[in-house]
Amino acid sequence: MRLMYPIACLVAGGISVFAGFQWKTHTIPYDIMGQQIGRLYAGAGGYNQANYGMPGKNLKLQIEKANPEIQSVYCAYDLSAGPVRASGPVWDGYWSLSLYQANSDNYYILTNSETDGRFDITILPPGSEAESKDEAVSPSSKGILLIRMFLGSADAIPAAREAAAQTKCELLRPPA
Amino acid sequence: MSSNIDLSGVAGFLLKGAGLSILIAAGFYAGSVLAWSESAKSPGGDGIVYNGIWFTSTFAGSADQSSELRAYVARTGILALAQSEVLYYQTGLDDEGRPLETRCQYQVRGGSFDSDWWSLAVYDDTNHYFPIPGVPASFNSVNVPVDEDGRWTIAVGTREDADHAWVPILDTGGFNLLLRLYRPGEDVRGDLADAEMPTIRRLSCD
Repeated sequence: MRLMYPIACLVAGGISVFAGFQWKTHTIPYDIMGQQIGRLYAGAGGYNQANYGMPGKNLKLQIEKANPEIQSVYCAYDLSAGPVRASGPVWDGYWSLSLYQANSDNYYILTNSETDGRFDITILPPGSEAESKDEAVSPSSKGILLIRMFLGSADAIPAAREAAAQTKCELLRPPA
Repeated sequence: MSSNIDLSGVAGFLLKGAGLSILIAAGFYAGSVLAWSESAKSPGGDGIVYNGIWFTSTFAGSADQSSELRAYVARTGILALAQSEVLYYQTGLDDEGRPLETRCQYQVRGGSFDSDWWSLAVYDDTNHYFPIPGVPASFNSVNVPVDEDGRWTIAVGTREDADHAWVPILDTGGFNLLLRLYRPGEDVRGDLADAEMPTIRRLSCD
């Protein structure tokens, strides 16, 4: 009987360490994505707004391990007010559009070979049903849209930035 | 007078309960701290493939990842693309297995890859470019100078290398390299562990 309490402490301690480990491992991607979404939100001045930086410049406050060869366009989306639409020109070269949910999983990708020079997609809230390949159902209400345009040299930057400037990310049905 | 604490009775029960609660909370916190520390280390297993000093993840960006692999990818390569679009090879070591240090000068050498494009970027310990304005943080398949054999050499260090492409860095501690292969071909995707990777030779250290 005298040993019951120490044994209970030992067992409870072991279980709690294990539980803490599993819980933290699970939440790390959510925490890091939350921080990324927060930075992109701050950089763009809000949710559901396309923004882009200068390739090769220090994006210290934004994306980690950003690729200097890439002109990125990003949008921290929030579907709480409804679907979000993203549209714009497709870069002549490597171009891809990726959607990431709140746990960092890449759940949708569109490449330049699947377009005819322009893209127009709609991100739907969780639980929706996509009716075409231009609609993507986000598993989470917030996430990140990231467009990548590969630049072989600095000469390509002006044209890529022009394409980035024409890219839109906005609520499909803005509030009245 | 006895100096022993009497743990019988209501007071003892409450004391034991409080002790157990504190232990559980401390254990949970310790587990969390351990998880954070471990998530920065490669979880190994089928999701991580080693190719000499380089490694890549076959599940980066995928929904099929384990919790451990997802946490590791989130810590080391957030917003990764699927393998069909980009292969990411990373390293923080030189050819001798020594950590890459910003106080040393290096030469990275390689050739062509089985991909439509590739880029090699240098990051500091915070996984951002070194904050040096107006200089390259990387080279790629379009702009890297190659010799008559199609081979290239990129110098990485604090001192300029006039004979080769040079990525300047600051002496802030450590750094790492990330090789991206865009639209990788079947040859490299089917042979992640043995595809030819760049070599990293340490020339000198201050």
